[in-house]
Amino acid sequence: MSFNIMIVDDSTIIRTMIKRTITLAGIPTGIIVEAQNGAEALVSLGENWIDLIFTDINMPVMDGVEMLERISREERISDTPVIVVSTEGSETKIDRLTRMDNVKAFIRKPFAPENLRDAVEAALSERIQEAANA
Amino acid sequence: MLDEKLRQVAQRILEDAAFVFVDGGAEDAIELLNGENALSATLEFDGEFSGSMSMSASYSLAKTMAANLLGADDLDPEAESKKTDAIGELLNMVCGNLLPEIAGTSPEFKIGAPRAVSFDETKRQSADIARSNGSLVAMSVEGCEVVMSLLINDESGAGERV
Repeated sequence: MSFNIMIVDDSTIIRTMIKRTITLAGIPTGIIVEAQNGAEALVSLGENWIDLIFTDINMPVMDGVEMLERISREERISDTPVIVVSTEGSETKIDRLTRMDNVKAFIRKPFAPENLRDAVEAALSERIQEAANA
Repeated sequence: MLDEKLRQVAQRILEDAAFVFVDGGAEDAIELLNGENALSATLEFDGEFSGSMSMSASYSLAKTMAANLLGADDLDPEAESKKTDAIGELLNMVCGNLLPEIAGTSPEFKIGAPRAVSFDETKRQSADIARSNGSLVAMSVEGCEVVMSLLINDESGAGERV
């Protein structure tokens, strides 16, 4: 079993860091789709089946909050687990984000690789269970 | 006080994210860095108060930081190609971690995307800081120069918080 991953961040270095961390953690991956902003991500979500989304919040064109709101309105993808990886420091905004059904974790930059790995394992545990029961 | 907060947050981010360590202050960093050997990035933020931040670092340190962020070797071609992005992302991290230190954790800020700029532009911003509310911090990091600046635009009293 492998998981299709989407990484949404306007920073190429952060996308590469997340990709490397996932690979080094030994998480079985299928395709890894990258997007520079929420708008690009929504297009890719229409074209690919994605098991887990990593997203930043502050991005040009369409930010992470708007992207997550749009995802929540689309039945096909509304339950795709999301890990937010951001420098966001407002507890008000973090609280609002983590109350969204599909947001499984908030990781503040800079992050330790093990925190990212633990969040991925927790976020994908439901998908693994679903596959086992299928 | 603002200088101290900027210095502390910048030091923590450089150490935790890029695994580079501050040797001390470097008052002559602005003179030592120039357009030939420095990479610079800037970003704007808006919320309870608005402003901009910039970061400049020597070319060789930028490459080391990019490699360390990626968990790669200095010779990795990705470190070379991503050194400007590394400066921008570290700046983004410093800004995101500094604003709650100044404004508290309730206010929400919109942080713009970092963009690469010439070192001359950051020097001009440094001159603006001298005339207004802001902070300029120069550090020696692994024997190389790093300059960070914070400029607060409005009169919302941000300077009075620190």
